[in-house]
Amino acid sequence: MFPEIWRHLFKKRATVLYPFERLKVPKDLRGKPVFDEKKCALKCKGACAIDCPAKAIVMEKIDEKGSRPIFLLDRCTFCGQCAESCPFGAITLSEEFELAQYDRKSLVSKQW
Amino acid sequence: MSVSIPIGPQHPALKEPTHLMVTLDGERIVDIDMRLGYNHRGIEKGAELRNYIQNIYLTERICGICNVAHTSTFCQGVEELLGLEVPKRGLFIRTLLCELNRIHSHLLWLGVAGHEVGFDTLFMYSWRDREIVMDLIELISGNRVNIAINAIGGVRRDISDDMRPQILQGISQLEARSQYYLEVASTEVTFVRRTQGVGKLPKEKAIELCAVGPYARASGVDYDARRDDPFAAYPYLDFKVITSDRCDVLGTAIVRVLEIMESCRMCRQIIEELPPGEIKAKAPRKVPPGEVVSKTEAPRGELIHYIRSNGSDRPERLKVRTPTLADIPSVLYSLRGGYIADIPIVFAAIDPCMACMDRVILLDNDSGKTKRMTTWEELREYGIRWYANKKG
Amino acid sequence: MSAENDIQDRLKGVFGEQISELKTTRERRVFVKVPLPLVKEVINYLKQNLGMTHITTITAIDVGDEIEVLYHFLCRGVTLSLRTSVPKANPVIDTITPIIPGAILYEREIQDLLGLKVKGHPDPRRLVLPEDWPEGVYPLRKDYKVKVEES
Repeated sequence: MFPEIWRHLFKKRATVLYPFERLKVPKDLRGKPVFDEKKCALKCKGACAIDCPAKAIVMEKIDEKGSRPIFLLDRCTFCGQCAESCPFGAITLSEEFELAQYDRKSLVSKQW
Repeated sequence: MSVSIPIGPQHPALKEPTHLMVTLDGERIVDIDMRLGYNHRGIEKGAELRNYIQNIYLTERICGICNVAHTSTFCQGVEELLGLEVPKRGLFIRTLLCELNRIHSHLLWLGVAGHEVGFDTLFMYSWRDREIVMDLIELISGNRVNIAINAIGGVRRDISDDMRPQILQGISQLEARSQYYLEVASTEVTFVRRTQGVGKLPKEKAIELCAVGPYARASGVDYDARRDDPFAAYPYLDFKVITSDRCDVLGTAIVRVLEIMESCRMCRQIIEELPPGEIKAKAPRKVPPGEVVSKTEAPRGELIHYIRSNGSDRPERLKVRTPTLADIPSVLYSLRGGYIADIPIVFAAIDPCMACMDRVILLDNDSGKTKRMTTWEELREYGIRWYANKKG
Repeated sequence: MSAENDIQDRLKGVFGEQISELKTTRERRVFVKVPLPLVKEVINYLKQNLGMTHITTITAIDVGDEIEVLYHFLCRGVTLSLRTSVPKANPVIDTITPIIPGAILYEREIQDLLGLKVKGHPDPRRLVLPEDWPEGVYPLRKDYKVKVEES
């Protein structure tokens, strides 16, 4: 018992005082999806929405040219399949994970 | 005189909802009966409504702890239907994550077992060591628990060279800690007295009732799907299959801790021998008609997916048999004749993962005669009305 | 491939023409199709002579007018899937628990979710569905439509 106590007496505290201190997240953490409207070709009929397993992407029609995605972040599971299915690389997953809101409507993310 | 008491579905000793009806004579259990289905989610039916890519994520959510095993089995089955050859580097990375998941699951089990016998210090220590594994998994795949590394045709993310030193250091730490847990499991008096001779399952009964996984291997049944039905990169790795002939709960603890050490060795071999090349082969969306039986070794035992395809991009039938279901007749056999105080630890010895079924709600309407199924919206409105009526 | 070929040859030798389909798709996977009355005899033969010790699961699929039942066994390291068909109008099969006690829960599951009557089962209660689920409604049949709701 005493060697255990001695060892633990001089150890660094393991708890991180969030939100005053933050842990460094690794690179490529799967966080919030980010949409780049310049890369979106508008006419692929929504490959991202077809493959989303949680039905978290809704396509909104702009005009005859095509449609763009709106992300429902309360349904998103952050799996990253939309980023893989997009043939033009218009969606990437950022490292932002602090997404809590008070109201469900503020989690509808229209990034264009 | 015998007394029947119900235990569950909500009970502090049970980790997941099940219902046990125990018939007692004093403190001894005479008979025990179990009711399942509290977590039924209709996943097999849901898989018929989604395409193969969405089904990868659906099968991942069958179980939170053995999710890599479920996606690997599913992707392996679809790859066999397509006749697709996965590149070797993809297989190695898939196997690395299967083994890290196994270490994670066994450390979690060790903590739960310690908690069930009242040894909370073991619970705290082993769950602190789980953080090492979860940090490694987050580094490789981007998420701590829901890994989502598998895709049809290979894996989605690569291991870069600057990740290697951190992975090797994490594995060395885990090896040192699992050596410590081996001493605790085999020599610590409180743990040994609670688990030795408890929940006995002789080898013939284990074979007759078709038990699987570390629970069967602790009774001497020598079957491991990694060695006897190799998949992914296991043909290229050398490892031992751990069995024990103790036939009780202490045997399952020792088998699992030794398996953690074997997994650490395998992870080190994978990182050192990782071949260069592609990680994923391109897979078409439509799968030609056929059927496949896909088997892997999840942390809890042998897992099987049966997939039948019909030429479209949705499966015709997906059948999943998780290892916990196979162990239930054996655990009910081993509980008879034991003490009621041993129910939590004997039940925890199979490492139960009941999260494979969800309940549907049936409400009477006002006349109380007919019953119909409700949806979540109706249930929510019913709740609001009930509270409004109560307030008056 | 020797274990698979050995199993195939011995089954063909004993049951001959009664087996309607026998194929090996890859190593350690064999598929056999037999008519319904022959199922128990084949399973007995597998247990006595081909070293079958373990049943993995029982799958049932709705294919229109019939329900196909597949028994997945483990014989000497080979996963052997035994297939048979039952008409949907009269879906009755015999239990195999006297031969393999470990199949008890799998038979309850197909009875519950697909409506297959298992004659002689020692414990024919529901396995996953609640007790007050309406009789005659089988979720895994193709005519059971799932209502998908949007939130």
